[in-house]
Amino acid sequence: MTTLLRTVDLRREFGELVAVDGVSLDIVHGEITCIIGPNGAGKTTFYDLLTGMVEPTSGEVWLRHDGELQEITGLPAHEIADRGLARSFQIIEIFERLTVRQNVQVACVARNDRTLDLTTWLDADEAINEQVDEILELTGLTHLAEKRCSTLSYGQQRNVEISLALAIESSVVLLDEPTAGLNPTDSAIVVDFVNELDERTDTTFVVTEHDMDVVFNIADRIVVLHDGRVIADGDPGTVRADETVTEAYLGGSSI
Amino acid sequence: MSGDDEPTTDGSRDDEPTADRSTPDGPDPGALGVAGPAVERAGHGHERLSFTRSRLIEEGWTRERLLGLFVVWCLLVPVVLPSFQVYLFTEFLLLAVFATAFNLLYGYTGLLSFGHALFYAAAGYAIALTFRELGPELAGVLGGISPLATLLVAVVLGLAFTLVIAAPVGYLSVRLDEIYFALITLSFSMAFYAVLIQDPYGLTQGSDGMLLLLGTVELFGADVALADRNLYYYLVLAVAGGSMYAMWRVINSPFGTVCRAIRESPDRVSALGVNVTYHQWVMFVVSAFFVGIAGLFIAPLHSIVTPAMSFWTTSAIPVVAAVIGGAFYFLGPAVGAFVFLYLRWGLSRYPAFEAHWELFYGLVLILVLLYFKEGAAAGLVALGHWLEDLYGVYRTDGRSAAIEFVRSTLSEKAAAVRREVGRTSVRGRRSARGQVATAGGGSDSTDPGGGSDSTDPGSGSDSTDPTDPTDRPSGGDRP
Amino acid sequence: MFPLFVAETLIGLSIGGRLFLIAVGLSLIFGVLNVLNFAHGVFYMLGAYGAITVSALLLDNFWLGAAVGIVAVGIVGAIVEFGLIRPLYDRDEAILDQLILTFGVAMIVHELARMLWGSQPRSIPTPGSLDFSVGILGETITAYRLFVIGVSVVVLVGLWLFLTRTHHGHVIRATASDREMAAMLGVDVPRLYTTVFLLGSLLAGLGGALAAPLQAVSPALGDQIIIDAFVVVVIGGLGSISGAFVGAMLVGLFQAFGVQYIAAGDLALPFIAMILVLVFRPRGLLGEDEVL
Repeated sequence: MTTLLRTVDLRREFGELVAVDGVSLDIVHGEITCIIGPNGAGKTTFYDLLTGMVEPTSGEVWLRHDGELQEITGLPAHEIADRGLARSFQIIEIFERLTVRQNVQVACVARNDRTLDLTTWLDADEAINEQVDEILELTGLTHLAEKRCSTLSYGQQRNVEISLALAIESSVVLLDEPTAGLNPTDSAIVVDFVNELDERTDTTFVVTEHDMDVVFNIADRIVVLHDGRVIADGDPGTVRADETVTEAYLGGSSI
Repeated sequence: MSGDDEPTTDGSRDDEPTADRSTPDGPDPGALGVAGPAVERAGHGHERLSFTRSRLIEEGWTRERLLGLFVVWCLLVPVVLPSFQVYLFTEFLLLAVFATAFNLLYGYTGLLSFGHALFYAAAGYAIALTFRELGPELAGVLGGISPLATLLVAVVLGLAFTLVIAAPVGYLSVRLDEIYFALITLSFSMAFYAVLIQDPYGLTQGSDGMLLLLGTVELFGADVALADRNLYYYLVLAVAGGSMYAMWRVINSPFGTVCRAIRESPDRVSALGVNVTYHQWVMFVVSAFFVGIAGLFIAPLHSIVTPAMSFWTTSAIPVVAAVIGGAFYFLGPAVGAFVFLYLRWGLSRYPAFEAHWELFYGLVLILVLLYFKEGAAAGLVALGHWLEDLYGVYRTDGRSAAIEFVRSTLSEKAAAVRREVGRTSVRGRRSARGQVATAGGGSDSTDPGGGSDSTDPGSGSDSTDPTDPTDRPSGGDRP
Repeated sequence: MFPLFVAETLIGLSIGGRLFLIAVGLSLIFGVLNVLNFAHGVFYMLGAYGAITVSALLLDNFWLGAAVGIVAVGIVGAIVEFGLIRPLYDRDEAILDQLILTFGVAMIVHELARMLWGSQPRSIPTPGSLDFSVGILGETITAYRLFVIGVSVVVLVGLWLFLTRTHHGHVIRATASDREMAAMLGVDVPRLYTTVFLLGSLLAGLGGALAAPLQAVSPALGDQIIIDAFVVVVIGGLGSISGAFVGAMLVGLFQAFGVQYIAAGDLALPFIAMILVLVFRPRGLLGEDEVL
């Protein structure tokens, strides 16, 4: 049970509002952790704090890098990503006017630290394009590789979004509502896909989600956030049985 | 491959099947920077059209051939054209480098600089100063060959000077974005302008500017004037050709692709582990370097450098060229530079218009921004495809079919233009009101930040509201 | 030594007053519409020409001429916003596209002005009613210059009262801070934008008309003044009205004192100040996310 990512009493205030309120968590290698909670529970802010896109008011973030846990609190976003923490975005953030292939190329270039290579012809660089093909294959985007992202369907764009997070080969990937806006069929595809990736790769996934079907399909462990605080944490069975969760999250009705 | 980079600012093209014109297999400096085989073509209903390009290639009309033809034309310019036209074409080549270099930053990284005249002027003054200060010294040492040596020294010093300025200016500028980036670059160039015009150290002859004459080289007993129009043209042709090729390589490099991604979404790129400002800074310096090359070689052509080289109206030239030509195409700014120079030349032949060429630029600029955001380069690409299609129809179905093809496509096009003009004005009228629908429709969210994201079709989902008030606070908490 | 400062301060305030009148409209428009209007300088130039032309040819009265000029500029501004800028609001690169578009407008207006009025600089005398000198602490200044300083203060106070004390002012400020929210609450945002653009253009026209007796007017005036206006609004804070006032007065005093005490430095200094502000306080000396 290796801890890959640890937060210690992490807190963020926006004026009066406390979005994340003293969260201490250990994310463990090989487990799919689902973070659930009603709207406004602080899930995305929690991700923003982990990835350095928002600075915490107080508390610490630690990430395993080069074999030991290192503090990453306050580091710029790109350095955190570089140390092995990738994320996808709830509101799709992909490179719309580039092709799918180019999107993944950018991530692979970043993974290989080749971003300052000004002279190589990227499309002719076999090392990178092999990786690109692998990722496209993995995420089932091969047939769309030469399409511009702005012409893709929403579900396909979601897929590109996830591909970008995967392509930099981080130890931990944070998926922010990967099924948001998808119809049930596409949701199911994403769920299968995350399960498959979890088995095929050495990546550890953390997923925020509000669709309970999705959560119980993929989670090894569930963390429930409410008003910025962790109110329950454990395997799906335990959380399902937890009355505080039912109370806070579902307003009384059973899961 | 820049052709696949066409903007879809308003999704107006999304109703058409997208012609997919990229190819994964290597260098292809196509006629407009658009590479690749004809795949599906936007629907004219002629299935044979997809064969046209391969047939054209079979018949020898490859892009390499077209590029070769252009090179041959360039080589022949001094032979074919009168002296003034050679001058104009030389100026065009340098302006094309200027505009393309500017566009590395604008079209390919998403930063609008309104101060690139700074590097143009810096390099121009560097070469003028080198010739004035070092020219006589070197003549004493090297004798007849000294003007050539001075030119070499001037090029090295000029580029070094440009880089020395560009590095700190870029470092301070790229930390700002959008309008603030435009304003800080503007103020740097204007500060340099003020220094040039006031000339506090008596170096640059103030508002008069400095004369610059390259001189005559004695080589193997013959006198060669470096500024000879034809000789200088070939020199510029080599320099400009080399610069364009180098920039083409840069935008197709891993670095260039990362910069294009930065243009699309800086946040996303930084979440991939890339230091965005650092890459913007590098591209800034690269861009300034090539602007410096243009400034270095324009100065001897004009035989004079003046503070106006650093005035903001000079910075506006590549902006106008890139927008008119099409900032999302590699050769767009060059096309724009061509339009810029030759429109002015064309107008100069009619005294009534001559003095007012800026009026036409203003009109063209506005029309392009409103209706043809992809610029003239996109128009040329479309024209090229159309001619290919026409040729295909002619070869397979004969002349009457070709005439019918011309008639039907033209009327289609006219209808499309009418629609687009209509759309723009309607869109204008409902512009901000449309936001109500985006923010309020589909979800009963009170999200202060999410409503600005028009790409979020999730608001229509029937599950729980995907937007999340606390998770996405609006307000400037970005680091 | 002391009297010297008075003279420079007066000149500085006079320059500052004029700069404020050109900068305030620019800042107001940016604060509310998020449009940096490159054509603001040519609007100012049009205001000056309007005042000169109307008072010289038609009415023989500077004040009426100025009024006609100001209204004409306002109408031009509203047309530009309605016809050209509005279609661009919902683009991805709206801010940059609008900057370039208004630059195109500036080119066109500049050339049209040259066609109409020629390239020769023109000037008109100070209006008779204010053409006398006033003594202040031993220095003299023409009453008209004092009047311009006064107008700039009146505009500042008037706008401040309008934005803080009236219903329309509240609506404008609410829209400036959150367009979508205002739209949801039923504000007709497009119309409000046109109105604010009209108001900003009127202010440019006012600045130009009042400056006409103080400086030579040529079609190139717009190209120069827009840069001064950029300097002022950046130093004070882009989008802030009180910032524009502080910036204008600082730059005015700067120019007045710079000429005297810093050898050959008066031209570059404003730009250096602008750079320093952008580097260390990009939102300007007073800039908040507030229009005021």
